[in-house]
Amino acid sequence: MISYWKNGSVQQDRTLSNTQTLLEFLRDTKRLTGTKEGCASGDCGACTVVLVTLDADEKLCYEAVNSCLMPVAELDGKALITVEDLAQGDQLHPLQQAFIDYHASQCGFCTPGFILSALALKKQHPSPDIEAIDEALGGNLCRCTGYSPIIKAVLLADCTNDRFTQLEASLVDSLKHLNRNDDPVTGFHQPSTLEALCCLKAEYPESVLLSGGTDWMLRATQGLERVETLISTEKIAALHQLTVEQGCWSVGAAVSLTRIKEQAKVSGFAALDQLLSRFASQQIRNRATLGGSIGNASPIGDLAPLLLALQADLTLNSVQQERTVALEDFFLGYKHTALQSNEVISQIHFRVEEGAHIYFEKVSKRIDDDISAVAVATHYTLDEGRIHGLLIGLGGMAATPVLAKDVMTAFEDVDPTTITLEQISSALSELTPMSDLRGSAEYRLTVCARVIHHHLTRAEVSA
Amino acid sequence: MKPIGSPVTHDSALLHVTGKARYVVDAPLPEGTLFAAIGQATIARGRLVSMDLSALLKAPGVVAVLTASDIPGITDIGPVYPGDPLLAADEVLFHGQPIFLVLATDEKLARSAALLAKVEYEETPPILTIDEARSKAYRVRPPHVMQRGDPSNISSADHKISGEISIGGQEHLYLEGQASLATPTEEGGIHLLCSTQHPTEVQTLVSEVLGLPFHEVVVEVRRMGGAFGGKETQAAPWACLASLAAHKLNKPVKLRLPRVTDMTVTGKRHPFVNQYQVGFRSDGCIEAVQIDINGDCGCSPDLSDAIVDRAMFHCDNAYYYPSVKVCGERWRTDKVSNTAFRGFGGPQGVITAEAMLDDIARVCQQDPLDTRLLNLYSGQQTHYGQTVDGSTLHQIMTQLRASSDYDRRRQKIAKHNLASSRYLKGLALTPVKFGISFTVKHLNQAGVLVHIYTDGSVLVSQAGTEMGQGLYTKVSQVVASVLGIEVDRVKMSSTRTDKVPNTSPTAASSGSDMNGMAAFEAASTLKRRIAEFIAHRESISPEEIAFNAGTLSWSKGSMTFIEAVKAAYMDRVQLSATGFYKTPNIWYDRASAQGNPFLYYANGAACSEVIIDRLTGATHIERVDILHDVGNSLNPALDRGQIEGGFVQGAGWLTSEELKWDDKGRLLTNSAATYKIPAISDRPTHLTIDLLEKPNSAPTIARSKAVGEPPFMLGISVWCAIRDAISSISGYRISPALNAPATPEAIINAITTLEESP
Repeated sequence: MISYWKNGSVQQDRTLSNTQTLLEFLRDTKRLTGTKEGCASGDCGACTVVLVTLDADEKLCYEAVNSCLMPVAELDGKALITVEDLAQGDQLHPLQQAFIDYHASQCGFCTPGFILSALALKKQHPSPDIEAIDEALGGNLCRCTGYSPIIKAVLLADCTNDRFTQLEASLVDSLKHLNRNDDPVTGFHQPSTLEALCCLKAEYPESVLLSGGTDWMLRATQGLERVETLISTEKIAALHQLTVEQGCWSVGAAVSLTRIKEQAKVSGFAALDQLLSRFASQQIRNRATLGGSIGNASPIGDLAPLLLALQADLTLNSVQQERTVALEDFFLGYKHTALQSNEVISQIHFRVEEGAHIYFEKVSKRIDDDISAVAVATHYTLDEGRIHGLLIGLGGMAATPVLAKDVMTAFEDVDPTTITLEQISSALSELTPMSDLRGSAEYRLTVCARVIHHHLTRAEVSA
Repeated sequence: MKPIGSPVTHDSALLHVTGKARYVVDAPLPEGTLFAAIGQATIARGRLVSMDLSALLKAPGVVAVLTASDIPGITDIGPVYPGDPLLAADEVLFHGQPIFLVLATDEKLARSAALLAKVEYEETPPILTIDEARSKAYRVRPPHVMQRGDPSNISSADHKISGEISIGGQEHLYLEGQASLATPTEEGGIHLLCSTQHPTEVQTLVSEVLGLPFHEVVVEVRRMGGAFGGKETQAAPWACLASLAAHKLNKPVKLRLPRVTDMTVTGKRHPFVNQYQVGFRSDGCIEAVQIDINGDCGCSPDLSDAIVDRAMFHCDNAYYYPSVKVCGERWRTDKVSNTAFRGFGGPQGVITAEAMLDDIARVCQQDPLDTRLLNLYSGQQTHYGQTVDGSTLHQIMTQLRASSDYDRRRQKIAKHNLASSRYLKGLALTPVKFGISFTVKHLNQAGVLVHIYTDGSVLVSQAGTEMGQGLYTKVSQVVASVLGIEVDRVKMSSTRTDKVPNTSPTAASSGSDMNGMAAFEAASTLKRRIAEFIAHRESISPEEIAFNAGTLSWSKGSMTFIEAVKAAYMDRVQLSATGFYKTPNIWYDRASAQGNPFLYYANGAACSEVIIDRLTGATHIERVDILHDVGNSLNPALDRGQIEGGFVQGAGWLTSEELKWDDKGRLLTNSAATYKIPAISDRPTHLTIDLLEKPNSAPTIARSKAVGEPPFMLGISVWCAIRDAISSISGYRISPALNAPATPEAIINAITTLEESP
């Protein structure tokens, strides 16, 4: 059984399986067909719904998510808003009215998803600017309008006193008292402590660890895979810790990318903030976690190149021990890591020195929600006009994210103004990236060299 | 508010925003509905040697598996010419081709079972490119030539250049995938809910596949979640398969394609590789042109004959070619059969002309806009013999030149590019002239059925389908306008083959032209009947009665529309009428390649400014100014929606939307994760759209103009602006080779080529 709040009341439901998605649950079980399936892979946003939870200060937190990627088991203990919940009788929600007034729907299939993404944005930030709207709606595709009517509607709808504001007190109260089960669905474990997680991992070494699950769930929905045991890290408070002290970041494995992005803003870590603006979509960032991203070991995985360039360490836990592994030693091969079958990632640590030059560039066909052809993170300090401590993390250039060691060696203690593009190209020549639909090997090498050259020769301080 | 010309909101807007709008997949399921999934070939070309489906029948939930041998009627559903087997029986034509159908009690069970088939093939190496097809004379249809004068004049001109452009295809990526729900009727027929632009063709093919008279099959479509041409012929296979299973098993059957399947098994916009040779004077004036149009049609004819024809018709875009020869080839490749997509081959012709005009401008060291204006039509005939007045085009381009501040920005950009090491800017102002009418003559007809009920409410059924473009809204405006009532008194019924028969697809931008005119006829008949009845009663002439704002009024009296309708009913006046329209004055003689295939041309122009990043090849559209000719707009809000949406879709086609296949003929870009349509940040930072309010000179409904496809080609200005930006590296001396789409990789390649050239 799962318990959740929807449309004013707490509801309880059975789920079909441990991999049943929230979208399938809504459309097939509840027959709520306002939420649409456009791609079932988190790429179009037609299935967007809003989850409401309480943050550490017991404030309501509205987040848009792709219901096609979320196991319905993880709805347990949360509040859910779908398009059916916005209007009260004939009284439309301000966003709905604005979408009508500004002709923001044509075929209408993407419309519920856009409205729900916009709702989460407006509840968190009542007066967003255009940039914030772009960021919040970057994971919603519309093939008809060309987008500007949608932006106008979102910009001009006043949601400050909408029905969710009016429901706030009862919503907070319901969320506090929602009966959370530790084990709501067969084959889906949601432990609440790191110890319990390690025990489960020891007991079920073949189990799949979900930490957001925005990538793994594709295997269920696209590959039609089944798995006996899923273990979610979502309810483990210890894995949600995020601290930054004097440039030292300590990030729990289950901290969402959205929270990390907010922290990057607060801490003035521009490269990380920019990186996360272009990392997947708002819906994915709300669910995806740093531990999940690293554990998943994608050869690109934009975050890994930056973390390599920051010499990040991972804390790995099992029932037997806790150990620290450098990120560089963690990636062993394509989707293959140093993580043992009984181990979990619990923390990620890195340090951002004051005055260091840290740059990140993502190269992809599209700005929003695309996978990089190449990702480059460069980190160094300038000492009397010479480069020191040069670290360059690359994505898309090998079977795993890698450090560009030859380049790092070649330009250590060098005056950047003397570095030529040709020198960088030749230092990169050991790398043999693949040619695929995102770009040819040649292109990858060309832009990688151009970007590194730019990173080494630009003079501003960005960390 | 007068209904015609008002920015009335889309008739489904309220349903869209509340999630109540029902698409095929949202319809409540009849009891006992089974779910279908297709089994697909895993090779691109060859033969099926054996197919062992026994494991499927043992899989959980599976009820039946159907193959080609289960089809009682026709097995080839090619819409114009044969070539599209419903299920492969022997020969495999493309990777992913449907070879069987599984029926199960649940969709996921059906999909899982489909993966259990054991199929043996005899594989033949596939032919995947136009070059290979040409070398093997591998065609789906014979070539066609249009010619005027002697193109050998090219050699005697002041300058002679040649060029080639490779143009990528485009996936429709309608947000709602293909879907059908077939329910058997009591007499062994089929009622079908289907997401299709062409209900009549679906009805015809389902009937023929099942061996039924057409009147046993009813196809209904209320709305589509986007279509863009991708549901013109491409909805039929899934409708036929669902109907086949429903007929065989006597159960309702739902078949919808998951996204990856949809992208694998449905046709796309045709890739083309076009070559031109042009001779021109030193002032940039074109004297003679030869253009070779080569369409990659995929594995079957589908609509390719008409699509390549339209590329040929539009390879002049807006420019007069005194001597001209255009050859159009329809090459076959072992890929999914390419199909209709907004513009229907036109865009691939237009971009060839625009690439050529830019190349001429660089040779003549001219501003490309001046070269374009110099060659613009002014009353001459096209290469197929239709006269182009050209005055609207001139007006649009000069007006836009001024309103977009083109000349000042041109100088500013040249300066910027000299000073900037990382970012280059480019500017281009390009026109579009798009012929309106189906080039297949018999399709230019439409019917509408209008009922007035005794409470004064009106129900309209028409031939056209609603895919988001607002056709239903426009037609309801026409009916409301004729009857002098509010738009909300007119309800649009779903489009059904039992209400209006023998319909044409909603395509070729013709929807509101044809259905609007037919609705006008039907509503006018009803208005005349009511007016004659009241006039007789009041002893006045019918012309004296005005229908306005829900009231009938004449010099001595008035009554409400509702009162008039009630009285007419009591006097046994028929309150239901049909209307019919066929487009006049259009013809094309294929033997002489001459004619007047279009009722009129829709015109427009866009001025786009882009910025490109020399480090990565990334592009952004900074500013766009559009001036578009919609005649007297039926609905300026909907027209603007078509213009903006069409522009962004066109820009996407030429920038981020790249289709890639591997050497085995497998589509690599088969999902929204790998095929990138424009997202929100890709819209132009600044966008101004103005409508040229000028009545259509052709006798269209309210003198409006079609708007569905023409704005798509405004996106070509973005591609030209990118090329302009790259050209700046050479001091605007060289017109860089740039294929479409101009992905970051294509741009970097073009940049490095120029950087390395002396």
